Amino acid sequence: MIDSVLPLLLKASLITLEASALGAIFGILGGLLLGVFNSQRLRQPGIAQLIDLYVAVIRGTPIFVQLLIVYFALPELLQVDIPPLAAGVTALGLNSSAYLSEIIRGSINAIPVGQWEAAETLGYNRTQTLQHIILPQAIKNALPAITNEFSTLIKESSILLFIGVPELMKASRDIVARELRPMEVYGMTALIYLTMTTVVAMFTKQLERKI
Amino acid sequence: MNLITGKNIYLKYQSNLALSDISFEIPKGRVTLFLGKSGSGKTSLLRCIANLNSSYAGEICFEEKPIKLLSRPDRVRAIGFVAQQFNLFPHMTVLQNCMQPQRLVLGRSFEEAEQKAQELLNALEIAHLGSRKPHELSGGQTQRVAIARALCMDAQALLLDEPTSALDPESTGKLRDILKLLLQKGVSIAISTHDMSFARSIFDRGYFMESGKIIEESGSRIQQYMQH
Repeated sequence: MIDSVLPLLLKASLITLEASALGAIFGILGGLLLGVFNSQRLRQPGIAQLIDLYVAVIRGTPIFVQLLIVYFALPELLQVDIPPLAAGVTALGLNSSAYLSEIIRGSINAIPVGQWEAAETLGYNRTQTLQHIILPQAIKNALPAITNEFSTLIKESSILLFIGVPELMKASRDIVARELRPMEVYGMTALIYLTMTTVVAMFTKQLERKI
Repeated sequence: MNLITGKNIYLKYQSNLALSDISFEIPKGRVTLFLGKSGSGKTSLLRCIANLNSSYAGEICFEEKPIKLLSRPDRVRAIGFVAQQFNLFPHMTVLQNCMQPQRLVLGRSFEEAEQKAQELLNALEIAHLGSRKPHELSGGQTQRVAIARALCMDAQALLLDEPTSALDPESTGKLRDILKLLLQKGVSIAISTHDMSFARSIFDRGYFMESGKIIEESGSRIQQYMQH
């Protein structure tokens, strides 16, 4: 049983990792952009309200609904075909960017005002201050939360089974339908998820110690 | 000759008048003190001179050019500011703190920036701390790095806000020696302080401030105030 099922689950877990990693990259870049432009010293009226609205909508609706909108409603609206994996990554990324933007915003706001002022008196412009002084400190402080978000995405990516992405959860459900051995198959699936999130947690701790 | 002059400076924080009709001069190569109790407006005035607060009315000039109109590189070459909390960048080493602003703002090469930083760290006797991070330094060492960082930009005038508030007596003595050294090198210095024993020890000329106004300039009242 294990010999025949495990390779299939491991192969599918690569898709899970791919979707989660791409979603995390999307989420980090989006979260960084939204977090920066919504931080106390950089927020612009109008843009900040739009960001607040986006964050409220994403945080206030289930990720499953967001996935279905991206996969079924968006192609209809834009008249384009979105492949399942791309739709899944987009939904994960959009969801993650809203949560990460709040983490990054809080982390930027927590940098003492003296750091901005020191950069100003040394002649740094806004971009230089952000790039060389504020973000390195803010990202360092937010790193545990950012890597934790990757763990969350690994688990949340299981909903991609509903749009047909051949990731770990879909593979295990297909195998259970064929073999009728839910205990063993779902047990193995849970163990694979646990291994992936534990590795990420260990990596996070290593990273925290290093910086 | 005056390096920095201020004329009829007014500054409001919401409805509170923080500075009211302030006029002052900071001559070249001398120490100018701004004395007074907490809340008298000393720090607000220094922040205006450093262009950290530019919402004031009136005019502050460096060599007769309004500070607000100077380009960033010209402004840092004119005025260096050392805040009460020193504000070193905690994610950089001492050497990086001194080098990065030169490279980014003045466009110096790595070698030029490193040479300048080493020169100043040597002069302030902290060259051995180059590879340390700010959290590994004492208060006095942190302050000397902040002074070196400002002078790396070739600042002709150095503003120090309450420089002795975080220092022990030994470090205060060391600061006095450093200020004398900087004066010899032609740097003009402006200091806000309520530490009277420190003020007495470096007094050259100064202003006594109260409730956002200058009420005495280098006169008997300052001498009297410093006795207390």
